[in-house]
Amino acid sequence: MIPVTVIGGYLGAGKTTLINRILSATTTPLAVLVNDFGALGIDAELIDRANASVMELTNGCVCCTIQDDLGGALESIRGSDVHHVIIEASGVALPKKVAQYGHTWPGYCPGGVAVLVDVVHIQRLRRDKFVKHLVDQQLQQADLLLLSKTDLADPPAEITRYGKRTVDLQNVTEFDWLLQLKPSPNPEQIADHVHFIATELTEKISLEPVEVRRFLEQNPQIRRAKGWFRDGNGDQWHLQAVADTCAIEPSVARPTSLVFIHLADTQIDLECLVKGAH
Amino acid sequence: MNPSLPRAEAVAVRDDRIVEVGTLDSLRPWLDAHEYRIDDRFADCVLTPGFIDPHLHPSMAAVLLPMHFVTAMEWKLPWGRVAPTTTPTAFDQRLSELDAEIAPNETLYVWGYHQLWHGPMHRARIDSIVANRPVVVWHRSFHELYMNAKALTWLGITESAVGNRQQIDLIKGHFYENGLGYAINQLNPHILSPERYADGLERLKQVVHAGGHTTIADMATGLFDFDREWQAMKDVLDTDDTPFRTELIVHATRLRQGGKTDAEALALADALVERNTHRLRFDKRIKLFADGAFFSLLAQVGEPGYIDGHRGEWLTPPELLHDMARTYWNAGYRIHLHVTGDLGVELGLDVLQRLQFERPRFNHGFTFEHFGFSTPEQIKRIRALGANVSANVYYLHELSDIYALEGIGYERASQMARLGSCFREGIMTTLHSDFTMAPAEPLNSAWVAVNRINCEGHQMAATECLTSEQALAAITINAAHVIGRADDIGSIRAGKKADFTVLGADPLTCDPLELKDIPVQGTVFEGNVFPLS
Repeated sequence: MIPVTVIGGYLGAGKTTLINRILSATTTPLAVLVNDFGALGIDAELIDRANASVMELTNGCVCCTIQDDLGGALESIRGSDVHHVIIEASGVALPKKVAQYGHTWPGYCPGGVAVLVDVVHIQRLRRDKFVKHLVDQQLQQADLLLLSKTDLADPPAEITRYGKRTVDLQNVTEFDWLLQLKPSPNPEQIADHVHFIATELTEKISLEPVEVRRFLEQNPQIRRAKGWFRDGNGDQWHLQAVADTCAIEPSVARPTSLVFIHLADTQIDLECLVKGAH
Repeated sequence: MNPSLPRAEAVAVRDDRIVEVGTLDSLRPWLDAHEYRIDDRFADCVLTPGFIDPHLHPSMAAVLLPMHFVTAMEWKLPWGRVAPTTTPTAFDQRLSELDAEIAPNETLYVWGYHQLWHGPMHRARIDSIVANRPVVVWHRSFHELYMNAKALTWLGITESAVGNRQQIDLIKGHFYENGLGYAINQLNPHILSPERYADGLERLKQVVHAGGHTTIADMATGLFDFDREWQAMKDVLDTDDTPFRTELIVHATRLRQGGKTDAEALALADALVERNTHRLRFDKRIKLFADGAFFSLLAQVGEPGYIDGHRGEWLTPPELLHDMARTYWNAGYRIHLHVTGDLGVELGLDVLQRLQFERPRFNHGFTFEHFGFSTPEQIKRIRALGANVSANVYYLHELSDIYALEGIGYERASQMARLGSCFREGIMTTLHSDFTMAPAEPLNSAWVAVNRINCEGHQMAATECLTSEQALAAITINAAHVIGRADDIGSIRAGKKADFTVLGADPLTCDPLELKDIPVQGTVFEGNVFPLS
């Protein structure tokens, strides 16, 4: 069984750039299924052999074009000696749908779904009349959000709403962690079990202990909360909350990081907390 | 369809062209000046301009038509009428008959199974009827299929090859959704084999003739494989016995494959005209795609969306669609944009509006293809921006009932194919079948457009009905305008190609409810008579 990892994200999010970086850095023999080779811009000296739909690289990796036939591409590499498959989802694809296709194809098993977020353009896209729902679904379906272009802008607060783990791709040089990404359980498939998810806040903002306490009271769906934050005076606080008990105590300096654990079928609106903060 | 001379009694033809239309008396100067022969075999018939289907898919038809139809609805095919099969027993009976009819070593492909009529399907059921040859039973929707044990063995689909996979049920021989992709992959070498494909195109030729067409447009050449499709069309549709011409509109996304830039893709498109033959013709026309399939409820619809809250899909990212459209717009192409939902239409309108702002064009031929859902306000914008509409009106017949109940509700479902409004605004509007999505019978499309009666017998949005004159214009002269060939075909006047459809009754004076039952008795293509028995 070859694990399949899907890289999704809207047009221009940086999928091709990421795949190019992975191919240059990897020590694992990978098969990468892309929409188009041309856009990849692989160095000619890295290419061992190539035809119109398959390109073999000198580091043992293989690139295949999908060309509307993902099944055909998966079938063509089944039984080859690649250890892992990465699928580049098209910019308008729902990444979970692509993942399901890969995961249900004979010979393959599930890896995770990583969705790229261009932090410069994400706010505009989330309001665009044609793609707002699509972009929203793409982010919802991620097991991990990969932030691109963070050298140009700070990640907007609204990304934290999705309650996903995020990784800033700037300065990342190796990608084995991406191959080890596991799919998070799909809440729809395990509806008969109680299931929790985590929503994280990592923005460098200041919060007042009283605001945090009020936020927890107003969001009873939060079962646990923990982490560190800084207030307007620069004092550091440690939060530890379980069910109805909430402890906020002075702490040593730590980067702002709060995690809220809540039922998978509920949402929490971090905007309420972030609003009024500085 | 010449408004200056809407009716005539005689037409004079020299070689492939009309020289005069009128009465035998008015034709006299031509007759006196040249040798002539009067052919009155159609004296009791009505000749209309040759029908034009401006959007169908020969390649899809070539895959489907060699299969055996066992369907709940009647299909009129040139090689025989397919009687409705509406019970499980009748379905099994039909399988058994087909098994007896076909050659012993042939695989039996059946299309049209539907559980509502034919009961639950599974491998053991097929095995109990046909065990000694591979059998593949396709669902009407094309989204699932069943195989018998022999077919699984034949294709090497075993427990160990497949494993325990979702959407493949080997016990039942059932493949659906993603599992279907796997099954098709195994079947492709067989269903796309050159002989079978050529046989499929031969059958398409008969279907097109039987529908009364003298021109069709392949609205996505390169859908499967450009070179293979082109070669097969040259072999089958470019022969002297073919009673129609095929206009080819190339699939833009396919041109970009292999990482080509828009400029490189445009150069490829420009070069296609050099391939033109007598019956196969490229021109500066391109097919682009906006939103998803109408039959799969993947059209992009605006607020308030679908009843169940699911979303449609984009086939091309909007920004990319802008860029691709600009390339062809600036090169003077006619752009044919696949749109199914009103948000798809909105995107097309935004694209067109921006292109008009950047580089205004008149008579540009930008056409909204399919045109399932739309809004009244969009009709005004389509007119203002000078675009055309090519509608698959059959959506209304087959889907308006179920979409009212389970898709988007009655109001919007009843107004799909908003064609009366298009004509009132003076938009150049035509009808197509998108065959194999709807029967390739222009009179059937006209019947739906005029009566707007759905499959449950209900009339939907009577305000959007066309008159019989409008519907006949839609399948002749308007279709010619939309594919950019109105100077040559689409009406009966001096100078045009001598293309006629021979009908057993007058579509303009008959009861509109009988439009679809008017017999097509033959066609005339470029002056040559091709009778239909």
